[in-house]
Amino acid sequence: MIDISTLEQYFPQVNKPLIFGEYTFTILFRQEEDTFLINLKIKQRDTKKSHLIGFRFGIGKDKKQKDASHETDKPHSEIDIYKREKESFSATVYFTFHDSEDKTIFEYAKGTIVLIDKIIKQFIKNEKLDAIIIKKIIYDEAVLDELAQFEPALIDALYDRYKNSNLIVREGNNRVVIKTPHNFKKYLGMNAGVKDLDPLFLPLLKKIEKN
Amino acid sequence: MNTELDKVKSTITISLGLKNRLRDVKGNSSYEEFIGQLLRFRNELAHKDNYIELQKFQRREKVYSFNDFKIVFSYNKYNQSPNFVFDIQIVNIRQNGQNIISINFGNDELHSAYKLYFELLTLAIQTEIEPLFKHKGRFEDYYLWRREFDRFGLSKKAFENDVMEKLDDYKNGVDYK
Repeated sequence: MIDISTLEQYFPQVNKPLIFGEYTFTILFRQEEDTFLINLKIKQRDTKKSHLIGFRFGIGKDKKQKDASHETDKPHSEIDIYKREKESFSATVYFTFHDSEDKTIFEYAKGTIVLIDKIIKQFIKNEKLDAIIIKKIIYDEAVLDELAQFEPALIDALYDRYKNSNLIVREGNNRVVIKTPHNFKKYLGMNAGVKDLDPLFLPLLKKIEKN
Repeated sequence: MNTELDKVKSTITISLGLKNRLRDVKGNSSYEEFIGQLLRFRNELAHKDNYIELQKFQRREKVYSFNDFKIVFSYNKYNQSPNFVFDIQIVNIRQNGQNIISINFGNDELHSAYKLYFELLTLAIQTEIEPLFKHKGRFEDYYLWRREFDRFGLSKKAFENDVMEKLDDYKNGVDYK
């Protein structure tokens, strides 16, 4: 079982929301004997308007849950997107790392922090927030200097999961297996209206299209 | 046997062809045992894959009334998805017919806002799940919420999003106004 606690050094503050304008940014860090979690959570504060958005991205391992829709006790990369319009829309993505050793999972956790850094920077740019807040959420320079090398390993692992195990879309009673770049874009990329996670999806899509 | 229902015999209508094929492959097992086994296999398979779960939730509006206040709020209509969350949103607050920004229960503003939020969550649960549900205790009582969410079979995600996150936000002074 990996110990992620040393990775806290890359964040000024964890487990406490940071409020900037109409958004809250939270870095969730949890470590127990048999579980761990590193998550970035961005949420629009309720401004009485619709289109409330929230998303979460990270890596974790939970206790076994009887009725869960995935293997919670296996390390997994997870993405959660939520939008509130006339209807609410939620998309949850799980990539499960079945047979990886602790050392490898720890590298994926480091790669996850690099992606968290990129997602934060892109989000701040897209929402035209002051770039000065980046350093209040994550130590960008240290992440890029010390962890950048682990990002390709994570993207490779996610691609490997895509290639060797079905990525199934569950929509009501429908089941669609994503096997083409077209479907990938439809459900996870720009065609799904999920631009905030481009730092993850674009390199993954590039790999899928290349192979 | 898992529940009382498992002791009650029932029938399902399937074609004779399928029934014959089931009989051929079930061996010495009963139909009950064999179908149970198929369900377990299905769940194992379903859980092993990577997946994307897409859900749409209809929004519902309701009015919470007390004294001379009317609070219009919306939430997601309940379904049994593991990704279900209530996502309470206050649409409008009126006092004696006049629009107002917030309610003060006599405590500080932040406490009042979260107290109101948990009143609305209680009402949404009463409407959607269990008319007899009544949260007994202070809204800050995390253990009580956890026990009640478990009792009503509400998703872990709903507990995390609708209760824990709000309690953490309250503790950290996050003002959602």
